[in-house]
Amino acid sequence: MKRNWQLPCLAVMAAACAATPAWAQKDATPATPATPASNATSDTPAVEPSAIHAIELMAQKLRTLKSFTVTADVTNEDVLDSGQKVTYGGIVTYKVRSPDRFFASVDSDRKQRSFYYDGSKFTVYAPRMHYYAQRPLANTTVAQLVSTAQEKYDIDMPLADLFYWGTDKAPTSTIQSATVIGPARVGKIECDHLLMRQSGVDWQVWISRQTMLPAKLVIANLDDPTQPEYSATLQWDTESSLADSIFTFSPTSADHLIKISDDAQTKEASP
Amino acid sequence: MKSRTLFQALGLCGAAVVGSLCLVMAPALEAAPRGGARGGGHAAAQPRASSRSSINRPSGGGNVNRGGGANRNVNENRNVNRNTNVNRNTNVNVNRDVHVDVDNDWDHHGWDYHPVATAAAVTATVAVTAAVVGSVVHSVPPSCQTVVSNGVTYSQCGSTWYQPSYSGSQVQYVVVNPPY
Repeated sequence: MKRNWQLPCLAVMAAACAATPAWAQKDATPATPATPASNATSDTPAVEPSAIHAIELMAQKLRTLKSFTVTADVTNEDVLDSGQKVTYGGIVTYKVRSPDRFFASVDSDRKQRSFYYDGSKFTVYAPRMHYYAQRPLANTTVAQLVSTAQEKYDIDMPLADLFYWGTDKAPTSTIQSATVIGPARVGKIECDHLLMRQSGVDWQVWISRQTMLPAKLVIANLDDPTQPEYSATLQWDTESSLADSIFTFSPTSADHLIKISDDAQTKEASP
Repeated sequence: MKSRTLFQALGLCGAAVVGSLCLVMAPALEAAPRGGARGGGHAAAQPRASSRSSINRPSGGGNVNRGGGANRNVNENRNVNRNTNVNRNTNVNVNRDVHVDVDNDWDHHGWDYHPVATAAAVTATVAVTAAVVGSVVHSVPPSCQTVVSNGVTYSQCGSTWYQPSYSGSQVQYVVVNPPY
């Protein structure tokens, strides 16, 4: 009989990496429920309500912006088979006027693209190759446009979270851990530095104390052991007005119209 | 009793040997198509993973797929699609494969143009006098000329005509019959 209940206790103790003498078994038993809890703490830090609150304030602020330009100095990483990481640089610019005017440009070491949405059609443009493609798209908000581009046209808008936070596309319930790291500076901007974990990524955000807007974002992809990172330092202009012409693509004689395949066409083409 | 134990031990041993053989062979089988798809000299430049430029994904389903394999799986799927396109042309020869693979590699980086890739593409184009209609490449030599015929944009590279289109934000070139 005695042996029967000792074994599970020993297992528990082994799990806790604590060599407990037999006389301490009574103490070990009440400690058992605490063991998984402390393990969980070391594996996944808790969700700190104050950290979630800071994210929610930032999200609210983002959703109140009627018109803005944000310029992000970004780096992204590739992991080679050797495990070496290669860092590429670029500039991402968004010009947005609520509810349905959108311009994005991605200018990286390897790729230049511009995206326009004027409320009625979506344009993809490659400035160096002078190819553009257009699709009619009506009654679409900026957040819907960003998700449509991803889902229908397989176009990933970098930093799409800027448009998802504060909507049902980025519920804070998906955040598995949230930690306040503390005060920090990004350039001369005083920020609160937060660390988060959710669905395959660890991410850090530096939120400006003055504007409540993100000043810096670092996203680590946990799918690879080297955790390649995307890093963006953001500069916001929420004052300047944005003219209609910004959101409308006007091809020159050097630009040529080509097609863009949507998801359905890609699937048809593959077999 | 003794012989039965021995038999069991042998059986276990046999199972272990078979198992270990399988373990040894599985990666080799996996590696073969990957190596083949990558095509020679550029394999070292092929990233096995990349950073993610956003945290949240638009749909729940997308979240799951991308969360698990993230960018890497997505890219591999794209490669599979391209290879399928190539394989569909049963007359494809070795040179054609080289041509496509080289471009795939550079496309993987999202490069619009790279001298090495272009040089390889030129060589392949020269080696293969008639490109297979329907095959897909992801860059063409800079000497190719843009030609608009009947409102359709082509890229003409000697006797080979390509029709460019966006696949995602990437421009791909499908070999087509000459418009005239």
